[in-house]
Amino acid sequence: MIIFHIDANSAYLSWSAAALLERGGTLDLRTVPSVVGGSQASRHGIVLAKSIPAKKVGIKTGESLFEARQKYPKLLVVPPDYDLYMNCSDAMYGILRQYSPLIQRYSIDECFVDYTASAHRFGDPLSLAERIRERMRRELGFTVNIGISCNKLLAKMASELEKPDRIHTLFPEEIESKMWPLPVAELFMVGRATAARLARINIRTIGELAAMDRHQLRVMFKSHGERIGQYANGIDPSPVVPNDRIVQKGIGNSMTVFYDVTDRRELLAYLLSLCERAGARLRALGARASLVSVWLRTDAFISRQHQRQLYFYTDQTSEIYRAAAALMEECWLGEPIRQLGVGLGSLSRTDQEQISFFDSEKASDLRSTDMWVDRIRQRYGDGAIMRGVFVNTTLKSMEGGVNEGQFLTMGGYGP
Amino acid sequence: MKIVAKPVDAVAVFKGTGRPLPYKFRFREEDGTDREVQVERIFLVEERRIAGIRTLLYDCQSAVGGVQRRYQLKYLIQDCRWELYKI
Repeated sequence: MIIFHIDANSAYLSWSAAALLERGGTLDLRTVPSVVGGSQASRHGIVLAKSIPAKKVGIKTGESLFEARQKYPKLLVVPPDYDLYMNCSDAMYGILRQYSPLIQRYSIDECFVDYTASAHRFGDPLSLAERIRERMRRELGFTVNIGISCNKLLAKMASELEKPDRIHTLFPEEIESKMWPLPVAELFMVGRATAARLARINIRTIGELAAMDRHQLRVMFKSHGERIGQYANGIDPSPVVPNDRIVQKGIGNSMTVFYDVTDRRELLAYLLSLCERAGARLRALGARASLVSVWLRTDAFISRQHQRQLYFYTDQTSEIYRAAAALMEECWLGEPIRQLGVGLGSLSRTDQEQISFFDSEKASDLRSTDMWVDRIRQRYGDGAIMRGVFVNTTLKSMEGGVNEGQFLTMGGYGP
Repeated sequence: MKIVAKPVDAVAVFKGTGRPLPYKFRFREEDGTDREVQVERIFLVEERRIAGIRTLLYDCQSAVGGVQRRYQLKYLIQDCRWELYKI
């Protein structure tokens, strides 16, 4: 197998920069300390992407614009343009499609390409990668990193080795020299929490993790331990799955409110608007959920999450909201809330269902109401029809997601 | 040539098939006067998608104030508008 991992270098920033140049701008954002960030007024004021000079002055992705400006007062901030990013992502995919039919769009700026079957046509993987890299730069105006290996994990690790505008290989015989000396946090699926726990038992590099005893890992981290143990040894059997064949396992929507919510009714109204979005997405998927979860973040940045397994499957906004509201009542202690979210899981895709003794008689009515509401919104826009609670308020009838929820952010790891 | 990227008023020919061809355009000079230019020759048309933005770039030549000058016109497909790109 030959797998490519193509990753746009600081995607949002370089896409904004390329677009600005294309529209006649004279300054290349990539050459000065600059970031893509939301508006501070609506409190989406975090750094979404940064240029390499911005990285050099110590700015980190995810920190607030306020913190970033303290590090570099003359920092340039441009707002995100999600339509543009979608176009860039499509253009990138368009080029890759010319070389292989098996492509997984792993996120907006990353793709896995299975080159195994196309190798006889386009030849040596390294020279093709060189061609792709060159085309991206010339035709689309931004640079990419390409990792080449024999599975998805190694290809992804390879593309992250040294940036920007580089091609790296990481075949099994190169693991020892290229991957094992790296800090363990660089390994895919090893996050902050796992890295901290590993540090406590003196595991600091990927090589040390690779040498660790399987059973000990299993005891410490359950199945996740087994997985990262395999990853550290460069083992990953998952195939490249084109996105239309990826089975979605859950749906979630969240939002940051532009002020701190303290009123119970307002909070529940926001929750309802999130349920409207999540419910519509669930129905568009043709699935039903039986696990509802709610999470919130307070003004002191404390997060809490509650979830409940329902004894039935549902795709109705009202049912989802009823469960979500009950969960919210449980986990909200009355403190000011800045961020909240709702998640749906344990999906079922069959059209058979267990009829419940306790089903309200209105259930089938509600189902057809939801269906018609979805259709009206699809045709006339999200604001065309809304629940009474949203009338004459500043609240939107559907919340969560960007670009009407059409934006692809994460593809999820295949089965 | 240097990049100006100024939106211009344009008249173009859309044939049944093929790409649109600029016929003439009007732009405002720095001193505020409007100048109309007839597109006399088109040397090259290039289809581009920098940053995923689809554009057609025309390499043209016209007599401007008695002097033959080369310039580039750009058609932004999604926005349906013309720009004087380079002069």
